[in-house]
Amino acid sequence: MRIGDILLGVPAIKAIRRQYPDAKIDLVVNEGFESIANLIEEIDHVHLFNRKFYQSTLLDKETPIFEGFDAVEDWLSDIASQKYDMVINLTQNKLSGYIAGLIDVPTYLGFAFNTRSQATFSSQWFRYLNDVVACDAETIFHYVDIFHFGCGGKKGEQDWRLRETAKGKQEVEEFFKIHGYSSQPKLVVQALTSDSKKNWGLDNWQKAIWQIKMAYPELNVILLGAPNETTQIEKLQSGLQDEGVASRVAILSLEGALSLLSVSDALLTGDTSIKHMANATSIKTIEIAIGSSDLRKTGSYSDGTVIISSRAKCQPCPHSSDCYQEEHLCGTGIAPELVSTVTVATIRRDGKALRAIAEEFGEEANVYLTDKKALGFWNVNLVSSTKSSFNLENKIEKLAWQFLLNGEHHKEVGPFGSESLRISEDISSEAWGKGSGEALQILNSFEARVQRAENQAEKILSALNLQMRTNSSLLKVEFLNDTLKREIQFLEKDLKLGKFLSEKVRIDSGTGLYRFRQIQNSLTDTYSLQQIKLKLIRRIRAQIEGVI
Amino acid sequence: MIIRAKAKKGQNILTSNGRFICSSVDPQSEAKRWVGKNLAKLKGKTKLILLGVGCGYHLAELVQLKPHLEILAIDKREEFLEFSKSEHLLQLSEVQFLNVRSIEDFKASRSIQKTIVSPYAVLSFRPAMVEESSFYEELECFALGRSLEGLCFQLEKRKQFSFLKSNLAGSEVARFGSEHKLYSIKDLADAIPNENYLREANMIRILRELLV
Repeated sequence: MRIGDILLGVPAIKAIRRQYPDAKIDLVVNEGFESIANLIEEIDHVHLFNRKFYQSTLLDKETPIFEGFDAVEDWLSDIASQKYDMVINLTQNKLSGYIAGLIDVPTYLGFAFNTRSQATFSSQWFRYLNDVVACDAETIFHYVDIFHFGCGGKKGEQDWRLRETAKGKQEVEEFFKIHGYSSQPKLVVQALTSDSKKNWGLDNWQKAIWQIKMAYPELNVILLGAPNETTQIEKLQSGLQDEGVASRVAILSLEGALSLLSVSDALLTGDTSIKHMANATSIKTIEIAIGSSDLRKTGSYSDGTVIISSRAKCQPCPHSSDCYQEEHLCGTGIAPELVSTVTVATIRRDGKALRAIAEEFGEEANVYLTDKKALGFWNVNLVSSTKSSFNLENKIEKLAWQFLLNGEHHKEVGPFGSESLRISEDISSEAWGKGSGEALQILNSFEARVQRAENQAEKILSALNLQMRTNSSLLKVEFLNDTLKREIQFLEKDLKLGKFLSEKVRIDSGTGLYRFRQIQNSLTDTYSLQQIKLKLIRRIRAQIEGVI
Repeated sequence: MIIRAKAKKGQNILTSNGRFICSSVDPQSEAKRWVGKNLAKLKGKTKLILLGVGCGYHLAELVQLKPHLEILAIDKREEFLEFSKSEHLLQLSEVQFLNVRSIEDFKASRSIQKTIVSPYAVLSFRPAMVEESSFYEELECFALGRSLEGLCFQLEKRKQFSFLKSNLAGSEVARFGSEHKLYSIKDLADAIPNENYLREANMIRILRELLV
């Protein structure tokens, strides 16, 4: 895991600690990232996975062919000697699945290959990560929530606190001793990311910062970076100086960065691990999400964060490939004026100004506001009031999934009532802006679509069951006719579920019964989801209409 | 023909058919440079297969820097082994010398069989190989497990991988038929049947994922 990935697991780690207060919790990370454990007080020990060394043994033809194997075996033996009771896998790739499966423990959470090399998840949430998120469904949970709920955490209890260290505090004290600024309003700017596709461009940063200073002269600008970013950060500083804008360069360790964020007022950042660290403080965050950055999965988590994302169709792009566009469309779609005005409005907590800016730039970019309080898990609302249907439908969709994954839909009363009350109160509040009239229209339209989808899912399930009953042998590979396959694809597209259903249709290994069950389970989930959504929609409508 | 000679700095050295098998100026400095260049490969290793004994100065230097390293020193020429043993009697007393004239000799050695099933390094001293370079190249590939024959030998000695030996040999001979391919973990991973769930198989899959 990289630093950002580790930080995404902090609430999950804390949830585990709450459940097992006396347990020893050890972390496995790639060598080089161990310093992050200093900030997480729940971690007792760190095991380093020497990925670079193992890779070097594989690529170097002058090393014995089994050198990597022997090294991994030694490492696994060392871990086995600790006699753990549980392995929790917070990454979702084959490598971590194999590693998890090779550590012999009674209990697994998260993805692991068992002794028959079959994928196991041990939690509906981790299965969701594999079946839904990895299949490109449109409305998905944030990774933090998936890990948190998957590890038994409760709604609203996502705890981000990090441990500030003496070393970090000292770094920041020395910084302020040299540069001043300590009692004045401070804007921390993290301009560089680890991936060039996520970089907005130093020219854009320079323009935006200049505009911010013009609008807010008393704000002090601190340019934050890691040691390997010094040259570029100093270049940005020099460019700002030429424009008459003073700024200070802070090259700090992770611990120092956390301490700096703890005493600053706002953070303006790309998609970096710094934004995750900011969740542990009360700093206001404005994030620019471009390139491979997928805000649905890894957007800045704090309540009230503003995330700016371009409307380029190619975004988010895959991590592993280069940008194939002639120019960096997602970056150019975000104007410095948008970033500067959003930043100033956010620092001044001017919601009306924020909405006006979001509407003005609505053609090129989306401006989101994060909200965790309303639903007890992370969600974003489009700030522009013209997009209210997105906000409401998005909330209902996610709530429905949460009910399904936690099994809450089986409860007759309680969850449906309290959640629909929350949403209806949200609609009635000032934050909504347009009032209940429009909300009712949106709900009615949404209900009609969900009802259609529910009928369709039920029809396909019945046809599937019939097809299986009429097949003489369960070992026959093809029990889905073309009509059924097409209907499944249409339903999936209609519900924007990515490849959630078609991936199951594509399975070509295992017995016919196994394949049937895979498709049946996914269709049943889809059908249940529509039923839950309908129930929620009707409860919310009843709340708004004052029936309840 | 092997002849004793003196280096410019006065050390005893050998020539073979008129060619020096170590530095004719200062074999000790040459040895120091060679060890310096290869020290990183010995990090964490307790066993070494050294190909090319020559005049033994590099061996003596290595033993001085790494006294706990178990060294199997291999040369095709018996005369080089004898010279090195006598010239560096005290320093090389713990080194095990092997006269290997063929791959079969190498395979038959019990010491080699024990060495290759635990972490080890392979180093080559090129000046000593000058007359038999193609033999040593083949031996080096074999010792590293990078040739098909060498890989099969390793699989045979690592009992937990005996299931792979027939898979690999059968499939590779059929698919490639080339003697010049260098084998890697990727080839091992490709040879593991999908339905094989052994621990060792999954460890190979871990390594294969690191190549992605």
